[in-house]
Parts: sequence; C-alpha cells; structure tokens
Amino acid sequence: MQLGNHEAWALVHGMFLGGIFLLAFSGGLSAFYGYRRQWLTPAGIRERIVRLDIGTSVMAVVAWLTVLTGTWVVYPWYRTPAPKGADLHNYPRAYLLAHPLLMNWHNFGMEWKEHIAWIAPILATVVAIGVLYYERRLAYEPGVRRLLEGIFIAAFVTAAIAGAFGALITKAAPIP
Amino acid sequence: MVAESQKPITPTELEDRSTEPRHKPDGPLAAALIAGGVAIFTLGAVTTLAQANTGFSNALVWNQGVGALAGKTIIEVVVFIVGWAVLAPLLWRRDGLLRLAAVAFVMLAVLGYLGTFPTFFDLF
Repeated sequence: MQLGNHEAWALVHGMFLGGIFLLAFSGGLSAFYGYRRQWLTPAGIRERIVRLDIGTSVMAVVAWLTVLTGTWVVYPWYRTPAPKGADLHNYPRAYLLAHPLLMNWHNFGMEWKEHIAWIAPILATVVAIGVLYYERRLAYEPGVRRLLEGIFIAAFVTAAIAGAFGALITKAAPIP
Repeated sequence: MVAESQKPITPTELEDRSTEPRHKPDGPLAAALIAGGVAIFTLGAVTTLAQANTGFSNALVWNQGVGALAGKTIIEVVVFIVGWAVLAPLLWRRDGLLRLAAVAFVMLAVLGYLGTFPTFFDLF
C-alpha cells in the first residue's frame, strides 16, 4: 500500500482539506443557528462567538488552501497533454476526451468544477469578515446573522459541488 | 395596569442591557459584500469571454500547466482584494448600506455563477 507523490497531493487536496472544510462547516452552521440573544445569556454570547470566529475563519482558510492546491498542484497533472501514441491512462484529461461516454466528465464536470470552486473561498471570506467584524453584536443583529448564515451555506454548497465532481472525475480518470 | 415603561426591569434584562455591545455601522460588511460580488461576477465574465474569444483565452495562460484558469482566477482574487482595500476605508463609518449591498451581492454572484456554468458559456 503505497501512495505516489501525485496521489498524496490529490488526497491532501480532496480528502484532508475537504474533511476539515466539512467539519468547520458543521460547527460553524450550528454556531450560527444558535447565536441569538433570546437563546443565550450574556456569558453564552461571549463564549459562543469564539466558536463562530474559529469555525468561519478555518473554513475560509481551508477553502483557499483547497483551491490553491487543486489549481496549482493537482490540475496541471490532470491536464498534461498526451504525446502521440501514449497510454492515455496516464493523461486523465486526454483519456476522458478520447472516450465519447466519458468526455462530458471533462467538458461539463471539470469545466464547471475548476471555475465554481473559486467562488467558495470568496464567499467563505466574506462570512469570516462579517463575523470577525460584528463579534458579539451579531447576536443582536438577526438580519446580519441570517445574511451571513445564508452566504456560509452557499459557500458549502459551492464547495460540495466542486468536491463531488472532483471525486467522480478522479474515479473515472485517476491522476497517475 | 402598569404601563410598559413603568414596569420594573428584571435582573436579566438589566444584565442584558448593560452587556449589549454598541451598534456597529454596516459599512465594512457592505464593502466586503460588494467586493466579493464584483469578484465573483468578474470570474464569470472572464470565463465566458475566454470561451467566446480564443485570443483572450490565450492571453490568460499565465502558466502553461494551469492554462487559462491561471489568469481567470488571479484576476478574480486581485479584484476581490483591491475592491475590499478600496471600499473598506471609504465605507468604514457609513451605515444603512447593508440592504443595498446585499442585493448587489446576490445579483452579481448569480451572474457570476451563470458565467461559470459550462452550458451557459458554451453558447458563446
């Protein structure tokens, strides 16, 4: 059981960073939903904001790391042009495009994933900025809380779409 | 019947009022929303333009390994950072902007999502 360099980076990009992202989202969403002055004592408001700060900040940082590793480390391996006569299994993009039943994994799946993924860190960063700026005041601003919560969920859904396509494309044409 | 203003304040309400943080102007969040919305829109616009114009697409190849995605994403990130750096100081003390900023953000983001959707940009 050995992992090559490419496989290791693909794991870091997809599973390690993706796993942390999922955890940060779960914690952050729970913290957002319950961060209301009616439901918390002043001590609870002070304590819970730390969880929100950490959850949203970690999610933003991890989102950036995910897209950076994906674009600048893994993606070039995916799109390496295949020399004439080469075994296409070693060239994922070329392999997918060479098979009529698989080409949409690239033409739709990868084309969508590689672009939409870069929206997630922008959304996550806006949320982190909002939480870090408002701090405890967020419990008294339900409109702001709901707005940030909505963008937080949008960041997750966006990243989930990119992650799902990444997993499926890797299954169809693994990075060699 | 005791009027609302004459009702005694409970210890909980007293503690709540004394610990409530001061109101914060919404200008800084509005700045982040506008910068974010413009950045997402820019990504969608650049992606669609690159699909429509081969020359433009080639001009975005700032790294051979990454291809045109390099230029598209670097432009998006620069727009976000510069946008926020410019707007945040301008709007720092402004208030009452959140609704407008949120509407602008949603509209720009929706267009950005559309511009990054293959079925859409393949039309060009």
